[in-house]
Amino acid sequence: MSTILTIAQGVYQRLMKSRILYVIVVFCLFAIAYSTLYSAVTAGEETKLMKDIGLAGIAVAAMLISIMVGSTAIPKEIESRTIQTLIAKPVRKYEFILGQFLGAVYVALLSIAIMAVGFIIILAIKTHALNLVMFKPLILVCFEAIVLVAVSVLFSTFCSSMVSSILAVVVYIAGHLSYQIPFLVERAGNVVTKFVGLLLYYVLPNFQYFNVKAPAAHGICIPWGLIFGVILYGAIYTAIMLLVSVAIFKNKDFA
Amino acid sequence: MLAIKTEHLAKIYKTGGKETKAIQDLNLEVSPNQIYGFLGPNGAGKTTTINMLLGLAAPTTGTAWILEKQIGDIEIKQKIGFLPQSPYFYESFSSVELLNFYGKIFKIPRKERYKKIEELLDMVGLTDSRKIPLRKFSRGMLQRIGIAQTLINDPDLVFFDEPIAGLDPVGRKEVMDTILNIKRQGRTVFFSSHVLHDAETLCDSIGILDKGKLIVSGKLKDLLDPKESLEEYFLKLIEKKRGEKT
Ligand SMILES: Nc1ncnc2c1ncn2[C@@H]1O[C@H](COP(=O)(O)OP(=O)(O)O)[C@@H](O)[C@H]1O
Ligand SMILES: [Mg+2]
Repeated sequence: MSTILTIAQGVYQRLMKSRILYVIVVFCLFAIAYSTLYSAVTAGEETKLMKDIGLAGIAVAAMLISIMVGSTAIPKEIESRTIQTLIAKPVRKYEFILGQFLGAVYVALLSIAIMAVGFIIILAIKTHALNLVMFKPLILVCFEAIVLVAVSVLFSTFCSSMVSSILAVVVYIAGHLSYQIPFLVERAGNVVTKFVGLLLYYVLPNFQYFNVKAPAAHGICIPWGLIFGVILYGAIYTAIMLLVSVAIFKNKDFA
Repeated sequence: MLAIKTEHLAKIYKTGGKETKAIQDLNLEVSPNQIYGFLGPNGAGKTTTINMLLGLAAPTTGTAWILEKQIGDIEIKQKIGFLPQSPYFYESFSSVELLNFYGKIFKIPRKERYKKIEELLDMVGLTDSRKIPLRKFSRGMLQRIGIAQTLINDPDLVFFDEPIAGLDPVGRKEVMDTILNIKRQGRTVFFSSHVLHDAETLCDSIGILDKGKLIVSGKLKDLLDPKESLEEYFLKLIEKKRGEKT
């Protein structure tokens, strides 16, 4: 275990030295602050809109950061051949993968946490109340980020960081739309179309599960049972992504 | 006890329908406590061999033992050090951060690790540039931190892939002195080079590789005539071997 954590810590240390993360986090916070503090909307509508914008902003920034850190960690080690020095030390390939994954996840969650705290503070300034219910949708944003890091890591075991990040964005978008597949499939006459449709439906991560932003912004209470169910789904999906990554990596040469 | 032993080791690369026999039927024996020079022209298969020994590439056929343990056993890696060809390290790390990271990989306790880091930085003369990110390092400095990194775990056997290539005369001399020093500490050194002159002054034994085949291996003093340089011997040998084939 400690080898994995050492590798994760290394990933984290190096990521914290790159400025791009700070840029995204700070930009996101500014965008939320600007659009909420200066929005000229009638009272009442106001806080609902603020919450909508804030949550959406954090979700988009979280997506960008997750894909960025997830799809660059491994290719960086391969392209700069630092992986050779590391694998020649007592490091198993699965420890290497899990270390890269955990380091990337840590950075993604840290960024989300900073944005979340900033968001709650901005909300508090505007509404003079602590909107702690906002943490519920944010928890799911965190788990969506974990799944997205795992998806990016999987792509990055066989693609360059550029290709992996593009594929991860495609999966992100498709994963948010895939909940509509069953309705479309019902109408499709062709058996092959049906089969491909359902296959996609089950293979793609169902990101719409993680999206409870709208009801949360409208003040509808989200039951904890639902949240835990989604977390479990995310955990299983992540575990599968990592198992496949390890399997792909196992027989790879680093020459 | 042998430091390294390979048995019918072979690697065939298949790229785009083309087969490259990078290493064929390699049977190598390296005894401990010496400097072994693994020599041969570019493309002979030196790096491929080292990569297989370190588990970076899987042999197509054959197997090998390092310090009496078969490759694939992760235990081996506790006792070896490795400097890749034209090495490159995490460029945002400083020397201290890099050595600390690798020290943690070996699970060296903190106090001991810090002491070791100071010792190694002193040994390779990087104490004053300890905080500078590696991206600002010159080729020679990178090679020196690379060598320091191989010793963090007090290895019995150290692999250097082309450690002297691409360095200026001063850098070459420094690296060669360091390698001699490492041997004096009681470690076995296995290094590859296509620069024969350097090998001659450094090695106790050599193996010569050409086109994926080991054409000779043994103690330097047994192989060479008293007045013959390694360069002359090498050219003679390669000519002879290549002549045989055609
Ligand atoms: N990853 C690879 N894919 C295909 N061919 C390779 C690969 N690595 C090395 N080779 C080929 O194997 C041969 C031996 O290369 P190498 O071991 O790097 O030689 P050396 O280190 O002695 O210069 C060369 O012909 C090289 O082109
Ligand atoms: Mg080489």
